[in-house]
Amino acid sequence: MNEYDLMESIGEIDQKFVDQAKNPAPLKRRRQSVRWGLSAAFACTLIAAGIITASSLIKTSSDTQPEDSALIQPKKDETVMTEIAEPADTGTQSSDILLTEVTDSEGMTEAFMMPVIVYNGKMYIGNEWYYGEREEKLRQRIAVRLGNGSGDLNEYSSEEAYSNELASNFTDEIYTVAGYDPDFRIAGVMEYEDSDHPAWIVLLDYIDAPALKTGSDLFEDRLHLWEKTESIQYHLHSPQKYIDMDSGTAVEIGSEIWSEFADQVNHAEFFNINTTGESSLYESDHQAHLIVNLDDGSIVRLRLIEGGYVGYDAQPGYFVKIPGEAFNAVYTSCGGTISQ
Amino acid sequence: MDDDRIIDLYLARDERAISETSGKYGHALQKIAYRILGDFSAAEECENDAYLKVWNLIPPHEPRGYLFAFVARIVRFLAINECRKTSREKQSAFICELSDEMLECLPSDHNTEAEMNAAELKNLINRYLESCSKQQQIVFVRRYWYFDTISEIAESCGFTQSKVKTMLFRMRKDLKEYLEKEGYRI
Repeated sequence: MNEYDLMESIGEIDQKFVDQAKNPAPLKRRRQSVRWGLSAAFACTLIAAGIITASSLIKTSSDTQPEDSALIQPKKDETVMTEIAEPADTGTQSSDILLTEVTDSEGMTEAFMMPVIVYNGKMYIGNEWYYGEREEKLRQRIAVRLGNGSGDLNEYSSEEAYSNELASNFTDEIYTVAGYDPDFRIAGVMEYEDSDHPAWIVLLDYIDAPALKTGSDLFEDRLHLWEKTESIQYHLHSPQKYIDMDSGTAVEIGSEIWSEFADQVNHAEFFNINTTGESSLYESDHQAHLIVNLDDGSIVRLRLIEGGYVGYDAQPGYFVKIPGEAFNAVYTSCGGTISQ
Repeated sequence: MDDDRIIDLYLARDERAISETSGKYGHALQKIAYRILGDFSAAEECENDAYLKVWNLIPPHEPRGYLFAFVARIVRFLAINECRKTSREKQSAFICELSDEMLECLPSDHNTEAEMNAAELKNLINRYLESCSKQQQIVFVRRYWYFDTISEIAESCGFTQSKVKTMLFRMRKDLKEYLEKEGYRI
């Protein structure tokens, strides 16, 4: 038997498989009010017990797509149209538990579903996968081993399973990450033999969004965004597609502009656009999507919406709002458009 | 024209059956052939050869409810056969990539006496797919039956490309283990 024999035999599979795949409806993440069988009532119990907070259950479903695409280097002042992505689901409402549905309980989930782990009684959620050069860079920051994920969480898990330390939907090793407080960020290190990309790192964050007061609470104290910024790419806004972390248009933002932007963001107060009645902001055509590459190999995805709104894509719904001049200087440099 | 009506034309030996098939499915069929052969004229030739075969197969076959799959299987078969005759240097990058992926699925002793025939292999693949989740089945079939690219699968299924790549990688590994395990029983 050779590879062509196998290819031919696959051609003879049962009709039902062919029909099922003919016009696949997006099998994408969706808003749902139940998570892995974690009922809303149980979630409230955990929250009331202080085991987890509601914000730790609120999650973007923005995806990353590690891909071997080079950065586009535009000529000066050139705007390059690139395909960009809208996260599959964005925004959250304070009463919703917006989480990725676990659809596979056969052990294939750890590599592609939203990874989750309970550590020190808090629920950490992964949102970015790193491999290749980025993984190699991040690997250097992998520090203290904390254990292994239990791998026993899935959509059918009992309530008790969620209260166990290191309860997780993956079994890979967990580490602290040098340069980040483990109360905020830990890492899952995953290895696959014989793969094009044998090693993956997922960064898992715990963010208690309602407890964030100002931008500095997140961007400076936890993400260390400003001090670690190495380069920035941007994507023009367009719905329906995903933003690849390795694609986009590189942009040079003057250090003074970036410093002023950082200063304004740090001092601005966080608010939830879903409670202020501004949730429709996500539908605006006037957005800029930044991928900020940090010096440790990780990225931070920022969403800038016309009007001064600056948000962290991994924490949907929560924004700071900064004055026009500091905002527009970065916003328009990164493809943002100002409505008439 | 709906598929039943097209099949009626074949059964009535009305040559409009071929133009209707081509009009309805030609693009998708050519895409499959092109993905395998990497050449438009070869893909077109393959498509036309497939129509001739379909003309000769209906009747006695009457693929009601699965006309596209019926024709597409023939296109796949013809195109893969053509590929077998072509040296790797002349093959399209896409089919080279697919071939390499298929190689990952082959049991370690696939060149030994423990060969399985096509029917047995088909049954094993069916059984393997039955053991997979629906989303795994769809991704696998879109890649290795319809010959979609990773980005096409990601877009149509609403997944990230990394998710698709990882799913396929794990499935190839699992299929190999499954074939090795089941193959030794034959």
